[in-house]
Amino acid sequence: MKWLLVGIIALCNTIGDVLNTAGMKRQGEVEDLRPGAVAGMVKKIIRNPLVLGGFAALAVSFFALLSLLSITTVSFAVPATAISYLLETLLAKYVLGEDVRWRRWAAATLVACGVFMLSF
Amino acid sequence: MIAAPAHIRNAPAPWPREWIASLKIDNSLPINVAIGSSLSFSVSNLIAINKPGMNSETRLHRRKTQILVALVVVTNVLGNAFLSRGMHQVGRIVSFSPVDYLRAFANPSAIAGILILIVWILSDLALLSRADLSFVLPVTASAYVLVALVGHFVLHDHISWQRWTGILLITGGVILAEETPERTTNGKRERLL
Repeated sequence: MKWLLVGIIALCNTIGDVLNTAGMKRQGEVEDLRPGAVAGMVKKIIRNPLVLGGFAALAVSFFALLSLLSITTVSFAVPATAISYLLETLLAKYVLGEDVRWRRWAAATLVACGVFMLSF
Repeated sequence: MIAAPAHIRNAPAPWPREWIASLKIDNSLPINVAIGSSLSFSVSNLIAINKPGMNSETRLHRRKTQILVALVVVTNVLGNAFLSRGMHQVGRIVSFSPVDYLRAFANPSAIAGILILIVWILSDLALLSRADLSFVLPVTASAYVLVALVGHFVLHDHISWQRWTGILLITGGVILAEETPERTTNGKRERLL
């Protein structure tokens, strides 16, 4: 059961982040963080199906994490989700078409290993 | 819900120690993960911004992106800290009734946490609009290091060698990612779209 939850968390987290990235790139670069501009950004977001889909996936991931925490400890939950760093980098390269070279692969691997080590 | 460690539930320690203590989710893993990254972040930031051959437009773009990264990291850590503190004050919620969860909204710390996390979500989306996902992920992992180092230097928590290794690995990842251009899909159509 707990590995099923880990899978759901990693998968939904990845899908959520990929959809949010695609949706925000489609919306255009945010240049301005003044209140008026942020309000405009929010208006666009609530009509952006990719970002809304991303939120839905992240919500599923969040509730799966809460369920996982109710049956295991944080020391199990946190390292298990570290794998999503690598999964997301993979999708960023092949789905979003980002130019992922050795530095980014190394960065994602170091962060995933680092998050894993933090649970000790 | 996550159980608060006994020392948090019973001993109202003075601010900000109690506030930072509330970051701990349980005793087995104080998410003591954290200031090395801010240091590494500032250093790598300087290296990335002052690279020769960068024109002023690229430098300005990078600078704005870095401000967003800092905002994402700080609001993530603060938002979770306030929300966690608020939830511990409200007490354990084991219920399917939304009313019980709405009770949490009456707590000032929980409200502050939720408001800060709204800023976090918006700044994260703004960051994703101008930088690659494969850049944002490792760079914003500085939040883990920030939590650990605050725990160590402010709370005087013991950090095991395994955790120091984790902090160093994440810091290395942040520095490496900072070495890459923040957006590589410029001018290209995002494949998913």
